[in-house]
Amino acid sequence: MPPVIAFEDVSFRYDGTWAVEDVSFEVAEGAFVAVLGPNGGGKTTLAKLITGLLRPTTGRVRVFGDDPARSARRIGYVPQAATISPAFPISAGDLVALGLVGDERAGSWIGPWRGRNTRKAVLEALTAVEMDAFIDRPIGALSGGQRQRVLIARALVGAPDVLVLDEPTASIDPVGKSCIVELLDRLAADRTVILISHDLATAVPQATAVTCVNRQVVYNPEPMLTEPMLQLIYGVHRANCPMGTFIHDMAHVLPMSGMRTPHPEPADA
Amino acid sequence: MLEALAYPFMQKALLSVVLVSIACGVVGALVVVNRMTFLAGGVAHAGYGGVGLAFFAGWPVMITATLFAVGAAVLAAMITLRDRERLDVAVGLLWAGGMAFGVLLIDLTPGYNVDLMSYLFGSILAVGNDVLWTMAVSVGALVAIVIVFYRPLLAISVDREFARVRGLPVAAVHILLVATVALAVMTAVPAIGLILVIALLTIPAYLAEMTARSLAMLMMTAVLWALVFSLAGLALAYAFDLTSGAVIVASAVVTLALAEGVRFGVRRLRKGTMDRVPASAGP
Repeated sequence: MPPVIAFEDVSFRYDGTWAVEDVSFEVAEGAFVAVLGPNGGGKTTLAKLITGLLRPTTGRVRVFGDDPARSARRIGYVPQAATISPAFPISAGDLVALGLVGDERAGSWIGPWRGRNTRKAVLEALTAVEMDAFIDRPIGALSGGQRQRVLIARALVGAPDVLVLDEPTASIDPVGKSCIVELLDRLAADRTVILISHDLATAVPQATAVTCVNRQVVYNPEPMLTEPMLQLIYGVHRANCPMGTFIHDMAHVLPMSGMRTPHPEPADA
Repeated sequence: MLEALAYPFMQKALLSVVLVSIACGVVGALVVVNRMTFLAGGVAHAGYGGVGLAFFAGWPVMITATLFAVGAAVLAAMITLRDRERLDVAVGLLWAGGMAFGVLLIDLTPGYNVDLMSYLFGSILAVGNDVLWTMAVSVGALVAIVIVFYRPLLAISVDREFARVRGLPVAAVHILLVATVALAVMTAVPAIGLILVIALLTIPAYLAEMTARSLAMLMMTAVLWALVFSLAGLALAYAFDLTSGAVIVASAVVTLALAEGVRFGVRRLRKGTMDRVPASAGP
């Protein structure tokens, strides 16, 4: 089966600075890929290359074997929530309907009137994220977690085959965060999911593959952190330094391959 | 007051403020939600370059100024499409360059003494039939553009990045938006002038934003607010023999100040009520 996403020697440069360099990996259909890495490491650049918002400086990105821009209708994108002003006068339902831009099922995009199927599709998408009761509520009246669910519904309404989420749990309280994690678990059942996060507890539990990004990329098609991945993200740390403790904590979240954790668990009696 | 309506100049003034209110209300909503007030100001002042060009070349003033402003706005939009960080520089160039170009061309026009103030502050009571027709055609075009492209305009106003991912031609819609703003600005110039148009583009829409639940509702409410200010300003200007454009804007500014005062008072009242609840409900 051909890969859903393929990066072939991809590099991308912002104003003379390389954000990602020589990246090559493939994502299989149905995978749930957790993209991990430090802030400024190139995670969002990776998402924008997949969605076609950025074009590689060198190399090639393929989504369903085609240019990402030509596969746009098959990609659902959830940007970081801060991109939308809560003050914008728009209801949850109208915001979700914008996920049907350019979708022939929603009728022509010329004129102010929506297609007949739009309301039904919007309601289905909001139901999937358990926000159907809020369809007419202004987005400014929703909590951060509810707004994030509406953004996920906007990505889902076009029935995408790939869902790309960029830090969906950033700035959300712990209750909202666990709701989003549960939701992602359900959504991953019938589509490929790329979840970008620096929050391991959110990104990792459902992952079937892991990508670590810090200008370079280490991709593992198994849900397993490897020593090269951790060294790519956090460098080499001594056992008693704070980062060493952090790496040790991560061992509880994801299995680690070929790695000695700095603070090994005490052996069972 | 009502006897004034018998005068043809007053009837034309009324008709012109209705047209200006529609243009500023509908497009002002887009300006406010896209945070484009500074750009609208730059476009308004670039229009002055078009006024100078019209006098210098002997072309029809309103049509030349409108085409000049739309052209300058589209150019600025194209330059800043890739680098929105430089929008302030582009607008500054439009603002200062347009004014300087206009003044220079009028200086170079031999034997012509133009009343610059009428373009800067408008002359609502002197609007002629030809200008009224031009305004009517412009407003018709504006309303048609906004109705036809409502959803793409909404999509880029809410979230440009997402609209681009969905395959919307964001650059083309952005250029259309900026051209629409330029057209609205130049529609309002004969009535309220280049400078005061900025207030009528932003204040009604800002007031409408306090209550609107959709972009369409925001546009309609902004039109109503603009009509209220225009009609009240016109009546006050007639009654006290004042400059109509300035009175229209002054009435908008006073209303905005009152609305903000009421909003601040309501917030304080609510906060005070909330603060008192735990104290009285405590054990």
